[in-house]
Amino acid sequence: MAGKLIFSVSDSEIFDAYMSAPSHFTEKVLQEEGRKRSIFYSKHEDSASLARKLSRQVYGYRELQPIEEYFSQIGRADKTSAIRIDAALNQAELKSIAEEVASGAEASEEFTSYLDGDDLVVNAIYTQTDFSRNRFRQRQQKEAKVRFEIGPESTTVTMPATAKGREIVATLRNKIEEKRKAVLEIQEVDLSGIPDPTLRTLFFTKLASEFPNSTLNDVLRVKLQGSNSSSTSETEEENGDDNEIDLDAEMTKKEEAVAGVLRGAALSGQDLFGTSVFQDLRQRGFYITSITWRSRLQEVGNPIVEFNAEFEDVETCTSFRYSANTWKVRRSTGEYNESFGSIPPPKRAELLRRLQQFAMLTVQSIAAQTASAGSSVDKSGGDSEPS
Amino acid sequence: MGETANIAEISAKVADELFGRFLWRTQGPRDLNWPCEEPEIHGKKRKSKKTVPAAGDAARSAEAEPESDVESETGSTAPVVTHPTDVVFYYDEPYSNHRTYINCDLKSYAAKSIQKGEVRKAVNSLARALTCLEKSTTWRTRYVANDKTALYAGMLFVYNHDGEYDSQFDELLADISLSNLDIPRNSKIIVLGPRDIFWLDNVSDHIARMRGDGLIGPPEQTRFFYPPLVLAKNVQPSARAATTEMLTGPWIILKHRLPAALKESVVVFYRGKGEQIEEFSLLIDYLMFHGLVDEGIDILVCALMPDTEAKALFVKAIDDYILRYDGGDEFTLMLKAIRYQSMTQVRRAFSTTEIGMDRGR
Repeated sequence: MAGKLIFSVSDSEIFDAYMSAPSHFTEKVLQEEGRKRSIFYSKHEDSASLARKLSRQVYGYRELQPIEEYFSQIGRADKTSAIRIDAALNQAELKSIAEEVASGAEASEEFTSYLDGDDLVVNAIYTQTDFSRNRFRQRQQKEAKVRFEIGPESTTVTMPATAKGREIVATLRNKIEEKRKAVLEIQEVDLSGIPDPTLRTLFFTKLASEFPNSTLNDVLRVKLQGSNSSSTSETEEENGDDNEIDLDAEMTKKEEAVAGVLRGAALSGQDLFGTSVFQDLRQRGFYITSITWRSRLQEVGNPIVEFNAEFEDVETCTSFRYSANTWKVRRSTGEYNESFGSIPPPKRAELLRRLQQFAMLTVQSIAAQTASAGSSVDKSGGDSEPS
Repeated sequence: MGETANIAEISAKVADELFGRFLWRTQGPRDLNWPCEEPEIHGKKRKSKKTVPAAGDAARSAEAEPESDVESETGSTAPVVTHPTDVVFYYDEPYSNHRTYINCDLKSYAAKSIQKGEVRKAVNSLARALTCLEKSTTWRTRYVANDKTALYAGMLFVYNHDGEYDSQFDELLADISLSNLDIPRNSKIIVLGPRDIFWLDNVSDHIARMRGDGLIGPPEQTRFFYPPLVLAKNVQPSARAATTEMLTGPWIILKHRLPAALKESVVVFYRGKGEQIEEFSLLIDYLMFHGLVDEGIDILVCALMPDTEAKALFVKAIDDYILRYDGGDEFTLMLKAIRYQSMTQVRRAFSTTEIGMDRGR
């Protein structure tokens, strides 16, 4: 009669859950789990031993809740994405459309909308299922909050960079277009029209080093993608420059040497722009698709914020998404805290808004640069080009 | 001598009327001290909160006391360090070929006397005893059989004899520093507070009454339920007793066979309040997943002081599970046959007097 688990968990799943998040389920936390059951384990036990002992115990609803809660919190740390609708919309129109969409939502979803100042917020709570994951991550209750920041001539729509977030925005957008009987003009941070790897990299280096009212503190992680042959040939055709062709030929030779081995690379460390491996990859035609950096804000307390920006589709450089989840602030003594903590939601929202706006401006400036330079794009890059 | 008589009284009741029903066994003499194996550590003087004079043993001894459980013979210049044992229980582990021995410290306090300092002191005393008992020839000779590898645990049993303790005992436990608690690796300390004891006593009493009514089979036809686990598939046949983990867990499952019955029956003692349907959904799924819901198996779920809506939620959880599982008519009948009942509350007097305050632990 033993069947498929619907609610309860196996010892193996509990063990995996504890071991899969060692930074959260530390030995101290596992000891506390024991204490909650009135059992004190030895401080000499390591995490695996404690996790094994705890996993053999019975987990009722009260015991499972904190673990479920932790893993659902992880799920909430989604990145953000945004589009700009270049049309004058109004709250009443959007509210009416949101309510219409809500009435047609699936029973398993909780779909609400409300006005927040000049903005309209559409919120969907839904369950995401993925049976390939750890049991606690298989079914996660998630939230997709879509915000319409309504301006006089355009509306910026921010959403979680998830399939659900994009689905909600697409549904709302279709409804608006149906009502208006017109196609809306959409602006996105998108480098699909800029295949040049140098310019793609320039976008990220500008984003990190020229983020307004801040100074670049460090670059921690960079993902690079090898440029494909089509983009190389396009560049060759457009440039018509013998030197460039030679350079590309040289690049192609190097690519051949690593063909099938290195299509992408992920670097992590400190001051990555200054590393020879980054410079070498850049010269081979690799371009940045994801960057994690820290900026020191020029404001009271000079908090150091950790940002991430990336393209979900690394080939085409589309589906831009970004995050700003943690920062390091100063203590009352003036020294910085040792560790990074969560950014309060209002400040986080402000930083994300600034990042999105700056990313949009940066893409526009690079696109303008490309257009004005025509085929004579300066391959050495601009002021922000890492050297 | 009065204290000793009280300890004998409480230890007998605890052993026979409480843990005996959970199939724990006792071994060796009760209420005896045994020599410390690390007197140089455990016997060192604890600094008084007052300033200790820089020199002079006499002055120090006036303001310092032997650490925790240390007991010294009157008139002796060098204290004889010992650890106390009120009673030792043992049971066989379900998922390993080990026998767990529990060195028990029985306390009986009035509500106003249950203070965090007392609890912390007692837990530290048990930790020190745990570090010594494995090395102690005296302790092992008295309490340990040689036929199985032993695991050691300490148990602090904090009984509230006036029945007026209604505070959060958990908060007292939270005050104990884990980093300062030196429990040997693979050992553990279990602390049962007034609410745990109330719960376990009610379960124990319910088992006794059901057995008296012929609803539960005799002890030799009884065992507590341990399912094969993914990471520990072999359940030891000799493991019939409820482990400390089961006693402090969300439910206790007893399997028993009535005379002439073909299959074992199941009694689930559910500790939660039953305030949310999910509590019961999870329990039902546990029973299902571990193969306890089957044709001819009688299942009774007993709850102590449940929420007024608990029974309705239990029925709803069953109906909900049937819908989700979609297992057909036979399966529906088996799930619908699971019975639910509230337990009658009892409050037994294990002790009527204070035990523990003046024992120097």
